Amino acid sequence: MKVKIKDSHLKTVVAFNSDGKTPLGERKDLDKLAVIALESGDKSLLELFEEIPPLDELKADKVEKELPALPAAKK
Amino acid sequence: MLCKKLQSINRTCGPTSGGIARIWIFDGEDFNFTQAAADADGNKAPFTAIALRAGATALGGAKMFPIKFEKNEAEYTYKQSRKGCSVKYEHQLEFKLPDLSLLISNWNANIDAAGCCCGVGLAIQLNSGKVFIAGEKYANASVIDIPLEMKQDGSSGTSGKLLDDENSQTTILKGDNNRGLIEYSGGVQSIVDLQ
Repeated sequence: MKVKIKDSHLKTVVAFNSDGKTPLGERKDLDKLAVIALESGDKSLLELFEEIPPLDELKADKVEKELPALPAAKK
Repeated sequence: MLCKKLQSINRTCGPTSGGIARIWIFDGEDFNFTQAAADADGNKAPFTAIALRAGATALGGAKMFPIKFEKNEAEYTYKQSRKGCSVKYEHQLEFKLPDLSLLISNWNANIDAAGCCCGVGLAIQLNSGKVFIAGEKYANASVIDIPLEMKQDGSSGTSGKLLDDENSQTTILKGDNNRGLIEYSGGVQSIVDLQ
């Protein structure tokens, strides 16, 4: 499931992850906001989302992105 | 653990720096701060996001207002005390505003009025890089249990006598509550963007 902001909030600004200017419709780090919203239970953030994956799925995706490529074993 | 589960202070080793880098004031009614749930031991998490509350707009004046204080002349202090089981934290932010002027007089009047009516919120960036929030009123879209209201109390000004004497106001903002300040970990740039 992807993170999706409601159309009515595409121009809303939330300050997080070193950016308090870019509207939500243009942010590339909505997965981080989704994690913040789920970990806090902040209703004012949760209601910004049209679709929001479960927390474990978001965190698993984050690990996948940050896991360095393992060097191929030398034979 | 039979009375209270204690904890260690296990700071990652490394240098730090004293002093204050930046100060912002804000109206606590304008902003909601987001904070993850406390951990299993009851340790609070930092604030990670800031958003304008419904009805508050930047055009209408809901902003983080930077304070251009004299460099190396700002300090945040706190003092913890208790009577029996009642604990108090006295928070104080002191900073120098150079060049006595109508700008400062008007700012004082504004801060005095805010102090009387609703308190002043503060975002304080230390030279260590950490940002602390004082005077927040809303967290996770709910009112803070016991808000800290910072108010101007004890400020003083001097014109100096000699040409190279200081001509400035020492501004003091004070407030009491029952805990230390909470850090904001969402990045200084995000606060600058709310100016």
